[in-house]
Amino acid sequence: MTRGSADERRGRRGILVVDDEAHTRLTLQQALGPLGYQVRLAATPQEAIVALGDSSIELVLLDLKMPGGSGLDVLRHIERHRPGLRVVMITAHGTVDSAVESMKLGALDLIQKPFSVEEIRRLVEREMDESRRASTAVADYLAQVEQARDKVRRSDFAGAIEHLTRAIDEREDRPEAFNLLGVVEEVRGDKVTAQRHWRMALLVSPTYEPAKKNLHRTVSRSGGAPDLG
Amino acid sequence: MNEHRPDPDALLAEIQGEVTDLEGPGRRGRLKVFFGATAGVGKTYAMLEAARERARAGLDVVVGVVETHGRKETAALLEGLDVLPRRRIQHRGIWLEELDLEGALARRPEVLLVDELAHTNAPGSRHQKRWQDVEELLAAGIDVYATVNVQHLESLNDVVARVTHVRVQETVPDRLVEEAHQVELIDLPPDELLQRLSEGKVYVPEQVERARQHFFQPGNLIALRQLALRYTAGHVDERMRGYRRAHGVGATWPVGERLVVGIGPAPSSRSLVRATKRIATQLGAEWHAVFVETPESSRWPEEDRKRVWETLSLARELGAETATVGGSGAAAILDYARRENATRIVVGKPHHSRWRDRLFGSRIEDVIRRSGDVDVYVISGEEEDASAARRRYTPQKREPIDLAIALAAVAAVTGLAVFLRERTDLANIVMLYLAAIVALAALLGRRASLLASLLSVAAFDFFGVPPYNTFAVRDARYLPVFAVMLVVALVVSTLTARLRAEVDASRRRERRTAALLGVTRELVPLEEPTAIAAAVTRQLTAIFGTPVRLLAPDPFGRLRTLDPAAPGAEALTPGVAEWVRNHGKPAGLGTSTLPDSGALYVPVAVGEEPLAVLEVPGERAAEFRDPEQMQLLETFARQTGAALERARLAAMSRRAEHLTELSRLKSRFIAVASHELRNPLNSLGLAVELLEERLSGTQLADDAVSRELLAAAHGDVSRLRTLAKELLDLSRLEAGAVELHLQDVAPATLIQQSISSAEITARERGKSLLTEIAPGVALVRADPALVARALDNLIDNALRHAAGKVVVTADLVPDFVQFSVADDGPGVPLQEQERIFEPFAGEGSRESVGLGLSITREIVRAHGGDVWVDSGPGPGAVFTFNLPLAATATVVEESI
Repeated sequence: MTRGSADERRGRRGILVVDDEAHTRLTLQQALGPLGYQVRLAATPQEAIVALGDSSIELVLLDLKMPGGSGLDVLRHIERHRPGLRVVMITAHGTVDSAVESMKLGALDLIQKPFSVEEIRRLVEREMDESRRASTAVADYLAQVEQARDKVRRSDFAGAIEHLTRAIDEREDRPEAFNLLGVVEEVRGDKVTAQRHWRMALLVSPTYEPAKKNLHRTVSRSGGAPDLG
Repeated sequence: MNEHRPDPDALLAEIQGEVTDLEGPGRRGRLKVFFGATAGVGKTYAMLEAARERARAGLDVVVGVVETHGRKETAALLEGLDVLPRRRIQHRGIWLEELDLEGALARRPEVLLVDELAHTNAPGSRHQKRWQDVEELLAAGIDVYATVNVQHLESLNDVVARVTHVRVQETVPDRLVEEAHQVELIDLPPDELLQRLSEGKVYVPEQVERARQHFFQPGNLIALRQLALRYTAGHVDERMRGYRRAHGVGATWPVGERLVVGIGPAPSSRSLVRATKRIATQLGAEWHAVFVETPESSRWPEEDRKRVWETLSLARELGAETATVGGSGAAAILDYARRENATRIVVGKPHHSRWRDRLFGSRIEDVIRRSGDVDVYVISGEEEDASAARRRYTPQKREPIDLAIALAAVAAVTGLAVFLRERTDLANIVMLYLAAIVALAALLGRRASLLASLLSVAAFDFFGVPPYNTFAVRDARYLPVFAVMLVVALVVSTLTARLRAEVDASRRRERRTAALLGVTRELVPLEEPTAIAAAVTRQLTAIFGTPVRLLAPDPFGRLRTLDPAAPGAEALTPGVAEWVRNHGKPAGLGTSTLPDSGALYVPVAVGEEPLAVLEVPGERAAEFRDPEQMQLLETFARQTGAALERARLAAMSRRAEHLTELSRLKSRFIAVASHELRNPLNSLGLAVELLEERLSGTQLADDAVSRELLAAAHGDVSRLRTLAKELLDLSRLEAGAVELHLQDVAPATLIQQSISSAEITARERGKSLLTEIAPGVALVRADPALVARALDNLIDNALRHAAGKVVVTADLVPDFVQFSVADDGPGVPLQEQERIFEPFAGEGSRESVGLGLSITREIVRAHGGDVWVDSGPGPGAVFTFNLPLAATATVVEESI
């Protein structure tokens, strides 16, 4: 493949480099630029938090040790505001203590200085592929759910169940499919099974409103229409 | 099988001593005793036969000493055995041959043959007795075959003497034979022995007749044979008990029998001790020998006191615990017995007539009456030497003076009485005499006050009662007055004297306790071995009145004095001191090991090992024959050992703490240093790779990006170079490997030099750099290049943190010139002020300042100055260091 075509395919996919060492920022920008991603730079945790407002960023390369607040602060921010964002820690330390701490906070991998151009490129490609795979899976899942929702509206419950089963095969950590399964069971008259599905939806995503509403509606017998999400 | 019933075969093997112990280098040697009733039963012959058998079995058997007494059969058995050459000692012109202990220890045979355990070594040998040599050989792991006759056993000494009327002087402690691995009885019926004797097989012919008349009478031989048989049977019995104890079959053997024997100055006490030993062995009981120190005993003649010590030593030798207790007779013994949970008390039969008991009370009757549930054995002590038993009164040195004082005092009172007799009542004169007697009793000895009492009554009669100047008495009413006066005088003088003696005795005990307490108290806080040595030397020298020294191994393992007053001196007799350290037993003058040496040595156990040695030099060492003195010395040795052990542990823990701290610092240093290395190394590597890529790729190398990468690489390289140089400098400075080129320099010159090199940086960063040099600042003695470096680092650090201004000053303080670099930056938090001079204290958060302050500190310290930082809660920090004034400047200061 040529570089040009890669650029087109990748569009505006972004990588954020957070490091207080100017030379590291410069060299990383130059090393990752040819891969066709947009490389954004941040020298402090504050700058990093501002840059994270850009939703096109899919991967963060984060130096653990920085003056004015450590890399762990950035990690905490990501966990709160951009869950699921991929983060790789960069460290110049030989110790593992802070690495363990950062892993707990959701960092996926850790790379130790010094590393080669080859190494960092391989790592970034792998992470970006993984990121895309994850987002494609979500897109597939949502498409199946949408079709199932359509089938439910048209009372084609068997067809809906088929789509929902496929969706759950794709991603079983999302609540939408479970919620719809519950609606199908409710309509078919099995309220107990329906409630079990909604509880499952809430288990994978405790804040998912449609499942909450459906469960509450059937338990309190307050009446009303099922929420298809 | 029931575990309470051991396998009979195993039991038999254990009794016969054939169960093989674990072999190993630390193993104690085993003793096999060939035991016989008298000379001539064939012990040596049997021993040699056994030895030949072992040699045939392939063991390394060596003959240490074998006396053939000219017997041909015995000599023949020596053929083919390895014989250790004897040691030849010249004593009073005669050459004596002894067992070569050194040679045997060096040769290390598997089995060594030693004839006649009871033999006394020639003066100048290491040990007084041959059995002590054997003990050392056993301790060294060498098996020994030895021969002993029954009459040489310490505990049977009296019995044999009674039977044969011959007292054997050379004895072997029972303990040695009791602990022997195997005892083989060599038995020969008396008839056959006599037959052998007449055939000349026992003694060479000319001695035969003498022997036959004295010792070798059939009655004697029968009795001795019985003794030997009984003793051997007892030994087997004891081993069986040992087996049962070792294998937990103790149920049938109630423990708790404990004997206490009271001893006194009479020679019969030795027999008493031996008899008690025999009873204790039969009972399997432990036993104690007690001497009761009474007020009277302190006035005993030296000879008697010595006999008491010797008896106590004998008891210890025979396996008793010994003690000296204070108090009066029966009560003291009973107290001791109760305290030690004794079940039986052994006392000797009195030898004095009954009227003395009637008059003064019988001590034995007292013991029996007050013993309660403790059994009392009264045993006849055999007189060893009737003449020695008579306790003679030996006048003390002060006595003639005391008697003279008593005489003079009575004369003075009599003079007063003559003057007063017409002027006052007779009762007052009686009182006058009594007052004098009380005063004399309090001041003088008992005999002097008794004399004063008698003289007073006589003088009162002669001068005080009419008719004067005659012993005749006109009025019979005066007779009771004399009697009462005499009785009162006697009672008063006796009581006073006893009281005084008791006070003396308790004062002596008190002094000992106080001394012990003093030593302990002084040693407790000490943690330095030399301080301990100084304290021990001082205290013991004061207590024993002779320069006692503590010897401890130096770094080369040689025993040397530790006392800082005379460090590193050798022992008076190093060989003996060494022996004591290696064997953990007292030796030297006053002991039975190496008694010819010039000093007494007592081991000081540090922890488990006897590492150090206490030395008591010649003149006073003999006093330690007194078990009590010895015990006191050993107690001090224990205290000293405990103190040394404490010192050792304290040193170890200090060292461990220091090492932990070092290792913590080191790992932190490595972590930070690696961080400082990894960052530039990483971007340098990336930059180089990218440049390479660009050169080989389609893009032009000479573009803006490439130049940027090149600049970054250049920056990283110089950063690494600085780091490497600083690390090297710091380690050289820390190791003291930097040579100072000292000269007298003006502080202004040093400051100006640094300022001019920092001015460019200051301008670049937009900060002002000022100097304030106080008037009259003297020259400093310093290496200009190094001090400039220290100043550079401080100024660089200040410029990095300053908000806008850095001020460099120099001031004169006593003996020093003080340089300060002040900035108006954020300041240094209090908790970081101490740490900031440690390498990489900045944790790498500031670019390349990790080592600058550390290097500054090392440079200043190398000059004999110090560096610190002052930073209040507000902004700003002041880094200050001082440098010593030049010598000329100091002189100027002083002349003003």
